[in-house]
Amino acid sequence: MGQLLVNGLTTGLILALPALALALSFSVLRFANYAIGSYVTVGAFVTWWANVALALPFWVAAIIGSVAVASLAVSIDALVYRHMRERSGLTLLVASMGVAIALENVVRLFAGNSPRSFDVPVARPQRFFDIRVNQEQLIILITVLGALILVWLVFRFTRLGRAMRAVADNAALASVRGIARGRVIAVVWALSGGLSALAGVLIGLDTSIEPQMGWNYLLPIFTAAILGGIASPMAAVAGALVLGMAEEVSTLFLPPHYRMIVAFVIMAALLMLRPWGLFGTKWVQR
Amino acid sequence: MIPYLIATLSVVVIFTLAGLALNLQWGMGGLVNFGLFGFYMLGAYICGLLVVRWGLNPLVAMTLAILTTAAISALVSLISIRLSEDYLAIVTLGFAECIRLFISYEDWLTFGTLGVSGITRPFAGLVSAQWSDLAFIILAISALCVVYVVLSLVSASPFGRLMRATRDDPDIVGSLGRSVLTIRLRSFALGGAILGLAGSLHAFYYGYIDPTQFTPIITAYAFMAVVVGGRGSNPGVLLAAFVLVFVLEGSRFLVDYVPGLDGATLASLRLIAVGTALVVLLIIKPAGFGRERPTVRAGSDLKN
Amino acid sequence: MSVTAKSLTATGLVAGYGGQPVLRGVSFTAHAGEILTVVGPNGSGKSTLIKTVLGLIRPIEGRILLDEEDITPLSPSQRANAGIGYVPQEANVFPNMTVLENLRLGVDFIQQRPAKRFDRRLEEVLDLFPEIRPKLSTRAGLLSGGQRQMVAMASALMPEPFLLALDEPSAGLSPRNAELLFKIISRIARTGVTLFLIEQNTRLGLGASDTGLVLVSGEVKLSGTASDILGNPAIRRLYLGGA
Ligand SMILES: Nc1ncnc2c1ncn2[C@@H]1O[C@H](COP(=O)(O)OP(=O)(O)O)[C@@H](O)[C@H]1O
Ligand SMILES: [Mg+2]
Repeated sequence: MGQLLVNGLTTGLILALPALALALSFSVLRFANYAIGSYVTVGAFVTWWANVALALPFWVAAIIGSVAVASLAVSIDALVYRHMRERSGLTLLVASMGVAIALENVVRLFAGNSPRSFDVPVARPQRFFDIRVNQEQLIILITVLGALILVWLVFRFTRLGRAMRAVADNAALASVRGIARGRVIAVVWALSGGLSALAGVLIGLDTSIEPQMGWNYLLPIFTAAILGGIASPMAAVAGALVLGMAEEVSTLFLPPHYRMIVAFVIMAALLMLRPWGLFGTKWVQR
Repeated sequence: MIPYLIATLSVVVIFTLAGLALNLQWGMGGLVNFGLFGFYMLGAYICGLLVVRWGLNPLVAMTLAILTTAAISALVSLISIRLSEDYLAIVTLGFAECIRLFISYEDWLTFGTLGVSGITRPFAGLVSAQWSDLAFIILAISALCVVYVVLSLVSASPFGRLMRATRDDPDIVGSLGRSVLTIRLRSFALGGAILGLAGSLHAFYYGYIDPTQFTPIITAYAFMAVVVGGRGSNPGVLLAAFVLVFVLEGSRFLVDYVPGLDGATLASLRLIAVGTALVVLLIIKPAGFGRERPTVRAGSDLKN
Repeated sequence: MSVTAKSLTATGLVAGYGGQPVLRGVSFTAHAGEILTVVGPNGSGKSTLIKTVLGLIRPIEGRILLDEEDITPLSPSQRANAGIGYVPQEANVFPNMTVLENLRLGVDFIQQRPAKRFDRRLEEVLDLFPEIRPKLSTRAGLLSGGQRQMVAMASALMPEPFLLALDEPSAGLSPRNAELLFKIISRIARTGVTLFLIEQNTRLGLGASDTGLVLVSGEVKLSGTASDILGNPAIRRLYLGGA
């Protein structure tokens, strides 16, 4: 039981970062970014390249990967989404699918299809009261908690954080209050890309690095964000933890390859019963 | 040369059907179906399994596949049909992934990763093996013609205008006393029926299906066809689908001429091109190259 | 609070949506430290006028001056920095943020003139709106309409603007709250702020104002001192139910 908890927590923590990233960009830009999975993948591969090809320490490589994807996300916005701000969310959605396909295949082009892993020293798992916790899980726990606390502090207590929440809350009023939307959007993309890349690094640490890794996480990421009510970034974190647990518990009576189906069933049930999310209050939906 | 042409034409027809289905759902109805490949796969598997496991007549199997895919499409769309359209995209995608997983792992029913082989084509007993491809292409083209005519009629009918009006402003349609839900449900189901048909033809054409044949790339190509052809324009999508398949098929030969280019690299390059083109077209030519019939008179149809 | 108010002058404003003019040559002056109220039937272009003053709509023709400075080419956020505060008709707060955060956002991205410590300015503004003082850590979306209006006005006042523009501040308020609101508006004017407001409550709005402007179909039908307009029989017939 305790082991289940630890594994569920790990799954949930990994999901928390991209779910937060997705909800963040949705809250400010009002469109669901399907390319989030490919940001995860690109982050993992850039980190792998810095770690293995350049032989840099793992944590340095992870920072390089995150910064690279943060810049990538900002550039893609400047190249693609910025020209479509006035279009409907659906058109942006389809455009983000195009971005996802292109990015994933750029990765395939350079890295091929075979799975890889990071160059990190292997350590023996530790035992706390009969529960096995391996080094990777500890790294995941510390990294995710660190990142979440940092984001939360920025959100809560800085001018920039207020600006992001203000644009998400009421974009028209934000512009009247002197907030330059374009700059906020750039920051949001940088944050969204950086967090997704970090998640890619952690997934690579937990399992392996392959071109479709982000794709495999797409459905759980969306489910976690919807659990939180899609437009509330911090609730998405809670959604991720709930989903992580649910997936882990489901392995008690379902084969592990059906985790995706668990995510889908949870999402479907939620959309039919509580589309405003597990924690949120009801908001007006068309 | 002739066999090659027939083979390409078969692919074109199947692909065009998928494009037309998406054009109905997304182009005319505003319903983003990212899980298109899943419904296509469902059609192929229902048809293939009915023929191989239960020995049904291929035409009967195809009919059942079409009906079932339509019904399941309707059910899936029900999950998020009350919500804003963004949700349908992820719901359909999730459904498609689940279908693929289910088919890959439930060998007792689907033969799993081994695939379903020996799917006999319609009229297999009537034509000799050497004319089988020709008979197939005639069947496929007839099916495409029927679908095309039906879609043109739908597009020109009051229901077609209602669909476009729902896409452009569901609130207005709702306020005129029309059920947005029913309109969406019907258009998604009709699109599902066409995907079921396309999947069945896929199963007949190859005679063998396995899960690796059905990937999100099918979805990407269908979106490409609709974006190039012009959302809502059936003739545009028809033409775009033809052109696209010939370009994509034609690019296969590049491997023979460009040194150092292997199949995997080419596949990646091709998809990079598809993704990029999709984005570029949405930015610079959002209406595509075809033209949707005008909706100016939509209001007058809504009232009666 | 010793801000010197600035006057607002518009000359020959032609503006609208998508090339279709709603305003057809509107001119007026709100003198420094005065309250100017625009009245007129629904759809006459009042909100369009205030949005043009704010820079949310670009005029096709005409100029807008703040004192001597031509602000016509400035963007909304530049105008905010030039000293114009604005409270829109609807969606006037950030509903998922606390009242204090709403007030902080009033100054976060606007240069304050003269630069004052946040805490000091907050005290001054809360003295004007004592009702919101106990609500500082409440989410703005949970407040009543009247309280939200006060938060919105307080937030617009935080950077000490020269001009405060309010779009139908009394809409949806009870008569008692509306009267309270106009008392506050008069006090704000006395602190050295020019007020440019839109009202559908003609009697209350003009009653508290120095100058009035009647806008009908995008044209100024009548302008003058507020009491003259209130006393005008045609206006009484049009808006005050013949009373
Ligand atoms: N966003 C908009 N787009 C197009 N027309 C608008 C828009 N907002 C208002 N209008 C039109 O402009 C005219 C004036 O509206 P408005 O300025 O809001 O009037 P008021 O505030 O006096 O009621 C109306 O005829 C209205 O239909
Ligand atoms: Mg108005």
